[in-house]
Amino acid sequence: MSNEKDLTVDADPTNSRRKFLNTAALAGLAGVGLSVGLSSCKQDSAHAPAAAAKTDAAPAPVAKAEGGKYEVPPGQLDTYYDFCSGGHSGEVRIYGLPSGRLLKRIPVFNMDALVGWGVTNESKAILGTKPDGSPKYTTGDTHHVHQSYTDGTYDGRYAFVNDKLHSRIARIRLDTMECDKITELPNVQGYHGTFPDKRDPVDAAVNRTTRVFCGAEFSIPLPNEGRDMDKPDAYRSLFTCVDADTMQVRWQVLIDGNCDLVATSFDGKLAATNQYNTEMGVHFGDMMAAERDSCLFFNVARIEQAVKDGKFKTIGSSKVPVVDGTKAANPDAKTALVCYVPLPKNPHGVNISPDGKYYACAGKLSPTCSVIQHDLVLKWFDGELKDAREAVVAEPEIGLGPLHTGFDGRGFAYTTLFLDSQIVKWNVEEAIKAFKGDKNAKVVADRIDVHYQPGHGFTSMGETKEPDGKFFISDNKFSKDRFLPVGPLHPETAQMIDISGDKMKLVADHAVYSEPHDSIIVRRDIIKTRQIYNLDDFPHAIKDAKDSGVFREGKKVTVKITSVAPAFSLPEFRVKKGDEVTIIITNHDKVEDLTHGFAIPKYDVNFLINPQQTQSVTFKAEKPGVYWCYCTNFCHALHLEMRSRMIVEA
Amino acid sequence: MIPTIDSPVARALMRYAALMLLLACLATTAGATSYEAHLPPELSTSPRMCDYVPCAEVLPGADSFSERKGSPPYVEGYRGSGDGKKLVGYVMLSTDITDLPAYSGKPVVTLIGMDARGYFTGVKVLKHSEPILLLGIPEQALIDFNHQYVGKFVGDQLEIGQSRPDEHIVGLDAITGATVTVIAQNQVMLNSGMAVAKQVGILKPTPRAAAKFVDSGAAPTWQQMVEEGSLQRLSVSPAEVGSSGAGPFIELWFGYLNQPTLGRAILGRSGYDRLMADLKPGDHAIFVIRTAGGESFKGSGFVRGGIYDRVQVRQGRDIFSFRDTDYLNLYGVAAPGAPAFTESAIFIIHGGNAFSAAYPWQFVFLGNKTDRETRTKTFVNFDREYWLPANYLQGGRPLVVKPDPTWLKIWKDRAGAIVAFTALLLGVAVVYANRDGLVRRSSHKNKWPVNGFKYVAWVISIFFAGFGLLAQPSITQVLTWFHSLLFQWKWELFLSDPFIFIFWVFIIVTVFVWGRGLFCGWLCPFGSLTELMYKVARALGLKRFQTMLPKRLHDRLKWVKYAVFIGLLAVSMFSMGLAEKLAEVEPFKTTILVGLFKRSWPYTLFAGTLLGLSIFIERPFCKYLCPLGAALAMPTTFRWFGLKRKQECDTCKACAKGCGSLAIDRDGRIDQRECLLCMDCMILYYDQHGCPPLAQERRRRTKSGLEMTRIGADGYFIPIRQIPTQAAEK
Amino acid sequence: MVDPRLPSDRVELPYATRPGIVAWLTAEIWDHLWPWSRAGFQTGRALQGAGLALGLAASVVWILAGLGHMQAGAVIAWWFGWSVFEVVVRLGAKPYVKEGPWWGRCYRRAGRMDMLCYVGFKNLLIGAALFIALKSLGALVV
Repeated sequence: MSNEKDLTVDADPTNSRRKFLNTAALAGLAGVGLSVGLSSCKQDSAHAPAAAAKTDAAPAPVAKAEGGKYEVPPGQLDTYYDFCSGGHSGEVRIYGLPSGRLLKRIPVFNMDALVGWGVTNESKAILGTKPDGSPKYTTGDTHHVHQSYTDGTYDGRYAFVNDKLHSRIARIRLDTMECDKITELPNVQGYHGTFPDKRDPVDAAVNRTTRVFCGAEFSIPLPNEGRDMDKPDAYRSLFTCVDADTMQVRWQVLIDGNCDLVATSFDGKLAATNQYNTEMGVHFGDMMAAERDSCLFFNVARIEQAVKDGKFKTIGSSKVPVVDGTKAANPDAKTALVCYVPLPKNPHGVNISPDGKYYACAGKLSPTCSVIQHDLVLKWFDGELKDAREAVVAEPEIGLGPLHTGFDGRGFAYTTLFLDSQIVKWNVEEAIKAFKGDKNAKVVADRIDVHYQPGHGFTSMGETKEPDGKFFISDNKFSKDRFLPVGPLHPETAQMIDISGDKMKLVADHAVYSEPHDSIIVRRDIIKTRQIYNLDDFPHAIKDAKDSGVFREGKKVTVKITSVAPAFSLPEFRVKKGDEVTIIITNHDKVEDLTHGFAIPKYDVNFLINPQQTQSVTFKAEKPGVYWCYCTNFCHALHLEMRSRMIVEA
Repeated sequence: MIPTIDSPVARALMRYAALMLLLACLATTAGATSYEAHLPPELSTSPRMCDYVPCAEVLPGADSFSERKGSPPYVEGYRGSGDGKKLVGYVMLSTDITDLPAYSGKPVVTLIGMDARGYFTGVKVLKHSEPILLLGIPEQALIDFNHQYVGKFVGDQLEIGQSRPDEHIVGLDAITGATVTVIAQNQVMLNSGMAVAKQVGILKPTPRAAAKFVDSGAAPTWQQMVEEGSLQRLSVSPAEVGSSGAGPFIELWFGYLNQPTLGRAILGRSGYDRLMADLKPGDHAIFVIRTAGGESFKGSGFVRGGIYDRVQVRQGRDIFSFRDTDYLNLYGVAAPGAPAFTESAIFIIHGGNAFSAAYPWQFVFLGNKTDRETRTKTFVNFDREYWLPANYLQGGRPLVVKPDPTWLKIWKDRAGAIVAFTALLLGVAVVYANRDGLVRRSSHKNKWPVNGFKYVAWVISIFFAGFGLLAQPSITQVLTWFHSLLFQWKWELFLSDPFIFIFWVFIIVTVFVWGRGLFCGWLCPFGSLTELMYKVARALGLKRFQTMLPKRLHDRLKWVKYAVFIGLLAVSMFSMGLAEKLAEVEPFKTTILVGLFKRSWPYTLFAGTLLGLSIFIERPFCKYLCPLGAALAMPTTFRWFGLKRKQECDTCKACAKGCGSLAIDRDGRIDQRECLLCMDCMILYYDQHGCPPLAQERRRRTKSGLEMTRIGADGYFIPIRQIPTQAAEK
Repeated sequence: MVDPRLPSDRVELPYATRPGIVAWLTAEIWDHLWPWSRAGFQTGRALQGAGLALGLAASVVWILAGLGHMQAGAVIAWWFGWSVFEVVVRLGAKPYVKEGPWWGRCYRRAGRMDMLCYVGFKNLLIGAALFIALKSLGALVV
């Protein structure tokens, strides 16, 4: 046997066991030295690449190890959902944390070409339509997303989101992550703050969200139908309560001044809103005239009793009962519907601490954050407090431009400082001591720079009774140089800060498309979604492929199609010019993630049908010709072949 | 499974290549393929199912078929008409019974025939949508796969992978590269077959009463649950899948979640409540975590086809696969002390009435073993039993009668024969152990006290052990041992033949104690047969034709058997198959196991020649050819207790002349490797008439009128000389 | 005069007759694991030297196998090759085998077949033990 043959055997890794044994056995017999050489060769070659790899890996930066703690390696899942408003994009987004990966964009008030939101009949029915069937509004401005609660923490049923632009509230069902209801609020503009209640103030047995409160920022003439347009004194704001189950407006409260952000107490008794325009000013300067603005507390039980007792009026064509919560109408605290707690000028943001004891109301134009004690407000309603201002138990100076406050459950509050571009960590109990005159109280524990100009800030599970004090997200309004430049419109930065230690640690810059305002960070085990739809959920579902076909009733034509990858049940269908065509498609695929699309060229139709879902569109067949409908969502090896011809006969 | 087929990149490529390849495929195989075949719409609805599909193809012998009946539906197939009408079997359409999808996400529409006793008679794919069978894998592969079912019983545990008779599992060969397809197809076959077999009474439904749980309210730790067995570990080593490296290939822990105490311990209170709220009646949740190894238990098969192709649950005959929608995220394990994990899942078993947590079930990991020789992959299944500990079940664990493993069943079935055979072996050993008494009783004229036992042993060995029990040890067993020792030792393999097993235990023990002669000379069925023929021939007067080879020639030829043995051993290292063929040098198979005239003539001629020669030469095969004898002779070098000799044997040739094995050399030394322990020389050893030194002494004493003392253990008369007492005390 | 009571001539080994269980065990280990002897080197220096080298190499192969660097086939081949050589080495250096019970101390001169049987049997046991141990540790894959 030759040396060469040996080496060939060795070099070929696919060589068989027995064949190798064969050769090696002969080698063992034939010559010893030869085999020694062979085995040492093998060792050398095995070591060489390892050594090379080592030098490659050597310059890895040391800092990486620290950041790596927050990386989510391939195949692993994030530990939190981040439900985030999309600002004037009108949508809601879901990010995974700590990775910051964008997982989903849920179209709500906007149009979405991908899923067909605003295209399908089903979505239009939720959005509301004009008489011609087109969506009533195609724009929206979402600011605040909040989840429904059960027993003081998120229950994964619903998320609620506001539309500041057209004053609408939308509900997203979290099992499918789709908007299922949109309600337009009457008599208001600039609906900004919103928050679901956490338990029922009237029925103690109901320990879950049944109401959503909405604060309107802009005051308008009531009714706003052309009267009093030049009489700003007559402009008014209302605070609104929407039923979380029916999404009908329950009641509204007429107030002095405006509403801004909203908070609710854990015991369900109070809803709060801060106001920055006590002055009811119309112009910029007017709104900052007064030294004091206030935070309003609504006594939900009393308001609902008043409604029950018929002590309300209605405005214009709206049937919604409106009770009077103005100071003039509520002179006696013992019967008052609303408590006005005076605060330094133009406060912004009101957040309740996870223990339910305090509301933090940031000063914005004042470098302070006011702490209002929940049970003192209740005392005021009982007539036991002389002045509502007595409910303020602390007002620490924390920095310039304080806006929003998050809590970690360990007694610390984290407030965004817009002007200082910082997050300040301060201790609530120390602030109360300092307010009482304790000079030794150490209020501010830490500060950290963020980049740049934070708006909202929030902590993981911080708005529930189960805060875990792990992360703080600072949603900054400017990113400037923090990312690769992409033209004059920059992304925003959502900066992640580890708050688990004594010192805050900036651990990630996440780029977000404009413009998230507020988010909630939700533990992943709370959310449970459906994998596929249920055929029976759709009244128009075509349950059997044999039921496919074209069904005509005069000018109205219904085309029923089912889809199973890679084919639609109708390879072609014929309609006549001028027909009003309704296409209903049921996706019969049952495999998770096997979504189909349905697009019709020149007819501006494109939408998705998820497994076992039914969707429909209606349009006028105005253009004769052949139109290749096709699947837009990659589904199969033969996805490209998944088509159907729409033949519009002249 | 070829990794490239299931990998995302390959799938993407495949998608884009699909059109081109599809066109090519369709052009060549148009009409012959069932890919997306058009099926008459009436097929799924018409009661006359067999008017639309060729039912007779899958149920040969049937000429008429009933309408659809039963739920789920099937049709009956008959032969003949009128009074002679006879039920042949049943035909079912898979999609009537289950809509389990294959790789395409769509079911393979299959027509299945089963005879009246529950044996599959035919399988025909009417329509499939597997792109994978268009691209590279011929459709014939699926047809061949299905053909494996023909003749198999519906009640057997049919599994993709290797057969495991000791676990009553019948293996089926997979289609390389189409894992999901065959796993789904196997499930479809079994579901369909069993659904019908249960309806028509072929299979008795196995009633498994639903578990009633004890909710103790305890909060066990991970360690406690491991110790009590409510968590189980399934670990696969790299070697088991033909891979290398340290640490497990995959290590999984799994457990049952519906049990409230356990479910809360794993998921936490709220997690458990939520999970249970979502389960429908008959649904069961299990969890799986991977604590070591890089292999995924989820794989990627579920992405397109929606079926997890690496994990299953099995309870009795029922196999439960998981669909993508049966999977839930498991984010964490609440129990204190839980190990870190890198992959996790909650799987839902849609058990209906078939699954009960009160009874044991198996969690199965379906793996691939790469053959290091050919790089081909074969299915191997690894499973681990789970049975809720009794304290979690109301009334404890129900009584479960487990079928014995096959080998144990054989041992039980043949207990009587085993006892008799063992008695034979022990008897021979006892006789031989007492040889001293027997040889003393014998003389060179009368060897019956020894030979009587030996001849009886021969006859029993030949007719009872050999022809009766087929217990003829063979060199192939030695070769198998070498391989088992090196590659994989399976006791079940050796235990499956109790007689051979016991024989080998006997052989190994006696070879070391006394040498190979006790087996070869007293008990080997073939050896006994040849020597018996020699003896009978001698008794019948053929003695004058009988001869021995000259010692010189014998001393050369005796090495041949060692060469045969070493040659076979060497060949077996490269090809066990070839070695087994070459092992036909042993005429055992022809003579004893099959029958001399039941084989083709070359075999008969060879065995016949050896047997014929045996009439004239004592044990020619044993002396010169037997590789088994050679294999046993080598360790016989180190037997503990040899035969006795005297110093005078160096010049005396009396024993050597009478040694039938030609094992005594000219110095009077016995070659223990050749000696078959016939005892002739031992008879002489004590024979005062036969053994020359003894005869001489006897004559001397007779002449001198001395007393004839007893012959001592050293083979001499006990000396008469008076021994002084003090010397004796010394 | 030959003694026909033994299959070959008796060999007296001073080191193997020392009393005591420890001495017995030492002698056994010395015999089974060390095929060389001073006498062997005196008669065939080159052969014994080569044997020593090969024995060392075979030991290295086992160590490499233990570290997971060897394929099963190669280990078997090496062990087989060494075994053949060990027969030659022993015939030169320790040309005797034990007779009778293994716990006894009776030695006799080894013929070539005796030595072949001895080395084959002994190395089969050693090889199988090491092989199975390495396999169960996962260092060796078949």
